[in-house]
Amino acid sequence: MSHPERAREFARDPERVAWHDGAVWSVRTRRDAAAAGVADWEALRETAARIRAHTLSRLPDYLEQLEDRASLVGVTVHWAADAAEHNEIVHGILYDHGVTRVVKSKSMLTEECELNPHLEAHGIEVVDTDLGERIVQLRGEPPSHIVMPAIHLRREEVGELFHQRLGAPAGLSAPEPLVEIARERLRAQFLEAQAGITGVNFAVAETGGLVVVTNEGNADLGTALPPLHIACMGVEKVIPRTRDLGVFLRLLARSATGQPISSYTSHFHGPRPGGALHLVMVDNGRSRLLGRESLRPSLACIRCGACLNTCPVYRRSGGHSYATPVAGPIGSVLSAARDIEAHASLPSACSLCGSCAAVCPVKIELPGMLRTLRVDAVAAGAIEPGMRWAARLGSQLLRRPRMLALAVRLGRRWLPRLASRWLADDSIAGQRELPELAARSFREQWRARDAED
Amino acid sequence: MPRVALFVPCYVDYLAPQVGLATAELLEAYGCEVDFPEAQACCGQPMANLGCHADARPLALRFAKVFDAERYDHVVAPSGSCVAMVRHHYGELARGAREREALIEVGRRTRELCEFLVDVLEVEAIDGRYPHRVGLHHGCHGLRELGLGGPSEWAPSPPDKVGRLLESIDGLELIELERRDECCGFGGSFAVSEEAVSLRMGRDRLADHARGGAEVIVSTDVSCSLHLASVARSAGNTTRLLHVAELMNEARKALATR
Amino acid sequence: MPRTRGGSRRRVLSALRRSAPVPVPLPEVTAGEPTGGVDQLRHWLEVAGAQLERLPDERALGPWLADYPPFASARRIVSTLPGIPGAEHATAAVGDPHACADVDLAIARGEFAVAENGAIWLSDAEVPHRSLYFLAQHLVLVVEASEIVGDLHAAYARIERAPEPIGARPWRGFIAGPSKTADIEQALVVGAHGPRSLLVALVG
Repeated sequence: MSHPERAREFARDPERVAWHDGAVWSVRTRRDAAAAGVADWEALRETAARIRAHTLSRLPDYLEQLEDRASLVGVTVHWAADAAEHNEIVHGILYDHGVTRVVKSKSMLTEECELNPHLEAHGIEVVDTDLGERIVQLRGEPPSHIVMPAIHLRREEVGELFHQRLGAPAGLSAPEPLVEIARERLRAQFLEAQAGITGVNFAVAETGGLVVVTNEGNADLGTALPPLHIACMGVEKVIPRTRDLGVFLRLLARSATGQPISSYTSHFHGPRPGGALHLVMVDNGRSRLLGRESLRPSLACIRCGACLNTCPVYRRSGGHSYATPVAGPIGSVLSAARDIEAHASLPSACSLCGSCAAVCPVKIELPGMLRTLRVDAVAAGAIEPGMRWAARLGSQLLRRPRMLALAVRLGRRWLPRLASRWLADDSIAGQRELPELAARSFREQWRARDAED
Repeated sequence: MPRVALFVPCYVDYLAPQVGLATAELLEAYGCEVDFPEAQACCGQPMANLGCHADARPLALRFAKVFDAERYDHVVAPSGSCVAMVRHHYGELARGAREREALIEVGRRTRELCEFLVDVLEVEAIDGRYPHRVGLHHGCHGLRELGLGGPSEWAPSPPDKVGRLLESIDGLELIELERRDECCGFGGSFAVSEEAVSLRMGRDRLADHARGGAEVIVSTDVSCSLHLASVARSAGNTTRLLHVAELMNEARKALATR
Repeated sequence: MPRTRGGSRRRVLSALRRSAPVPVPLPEVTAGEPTGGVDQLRHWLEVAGAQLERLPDERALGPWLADYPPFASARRIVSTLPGIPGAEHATAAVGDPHACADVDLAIARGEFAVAENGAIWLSDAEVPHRSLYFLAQHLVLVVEASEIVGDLHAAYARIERAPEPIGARPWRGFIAGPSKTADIEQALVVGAHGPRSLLVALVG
């Protein structure tokens, strides 16, 4: 199924679309208020974009520096060329430590690599501890948003889920008691865990420090309690200096949720006494992205989710309609860049409004990249033949004024008759009327006007 | 006197010719000698946005030739999206440095109507009368790529060139919207390939304007107004959908005839 | 031992080097606002669902806490500050992080506060275990009133100026409020997994 097909399914429940659209839009609104409170917001975005561009221009050097400094403070550093290797490495570390119970905080990288199924196939229990992620994990579905994984669910659905899977009383839907139940269950899991897996928001090359950001404190509980901490990061997450954190962190929470900062911003500088800290750095197609000048800035992404929140298409079609680890504008770019044939409909799941680029804290020109990926789709023969022919025909016709004039004359007669045949889809019929060709075109009127003078 | 060429996008030419005429009349009222080179066709935006650069390129080259710098100092179009294409994306279509230079050069001389009035003709106010509650729908390309208005995402937001021109019109009241600049959902081929979402976006825009009490919805892009009109008509909504050129010209003529 | 499949490090680095983007300069980062006001700090802590109390000095903390409901109802209280009646005075590191599991309220020192967002910078240096900050049901952080910086730029400038010996303070961080989540229908609930409340006692 393509994005438009899934979007049509989502659209069949207009009330749900309105609710989802409104809920996600409200996060955009909060972002706006937070941005307005920072005097140098636009300058900050520009600085962040430049720090990223610089880092990407010297990525191997910074990764080597990171490896060096992290190793000095006792971190064991691993390199994974692809998702499969990442999964093998993580599993290997757990196996060496005899681990069967893992708690995991949010990491889009581990989603991308499909780590959970891999570990579970090897008999390791993985509990996602971010509440939204735990909810979708219990439901057996992927997250629909990178910051708010369960944004697509109503409270009653969460209540029913907790009743089925966590022993909550039936009919509970108020968020507070539901969170309290989750708190209790997950606390037990934190206390029994043998290892904690986290993502990495930022890795500081100059110090070897790893920064992990949460509101729930789940990354900290998951790494303070068990002796083993495995941090998984895409190679693009490295930043040069400690002071660069000030720039990114001032932008991150404000862009993501409208908060000036998240509740917990933890800096890991080596394992805790008696513990071990492993860092797995993953390529998985990032080096290829780095090599494409027009797409390279997509690696600057700090995973704030602002582009999802502002995207009018995301809000009205839901994260699952993208069928990717990351949804929305950035997800469409990353997935289509990785595999255009599997994700051919994503670059076109966009009206090119440009709102995403305008909110992006690191100024990624997402619409331009989606346009580039449409060129990829055409080159791969992955767009609808009808569109391809329309472009060819249109180009030919528009270059030939006499033919165009004839087409217009014919169109005036035949278009109204054809239009009703086109609009066959019953979910769409009655929702719009095609415009009519004017009786006299502009150029005909201009010629007449000229003749009058 | 600067030589101004009018670029009337294909869909305006054949679907909304009155917008082209209003644009010409406005430019003439502000002292321009306007020419309409008949050899013009399409700027190539639909093909380029589909990813069919090979089909867009000949149209872009033709555009550069028709609107040659030798003949025209300025190219003005009543379309934010077409102008954004010409000014910001023509370079991508070029093969070789000579083509690139020609395509970028014509982009430098091409402007949307409102930005031409404000930035080149230095019009600060429209002498006109239009006593109505008006909803302003900024076309996305004009808004975010050409700077015709202040995008709500930016902090702070730059001044709204189009809004200021409209508010200078006697009796005109711009209404407040809940979502000042959300996309109408046209997006070219998007309206066909993602029909369900496109229609939903159009309906939501109309509802926002209705809640704000708009008697008329004015846009900087005919593609947006045609899309909104098609959604409105099928719902029995008779709100008038105009292009800024039509509104400003009507307002100007209303005062002139008194 | 690193588990990299022989050569992956080399493969990844050379794949990254092959793309060789044009060099881009690293921009300067502002040193920020070195000082910040109590009112701004209080505002952002309250927005985050935390509380700020001004006290003349550390000795006033114990008596003040007697009427603070999370303290009054706590069965087990651990404090890295001395002289808090009813609290265990924690002086040494504890090997087992689980030992803090039944702590109802923890009191610890923060190094400095950031006015633009209410964040308190601290480390695991003085606590029995870093798990205390997250397992305690309620958290009290004591910060000197003279130690308020204006924004995160100034905070990191300060952090950069204090070099750490290798292996010292493996955990450092900002705590800017109680734990919270809005994962169920965007409804904000305070007390997700970490502490249900944060009190910042600003002394001096």
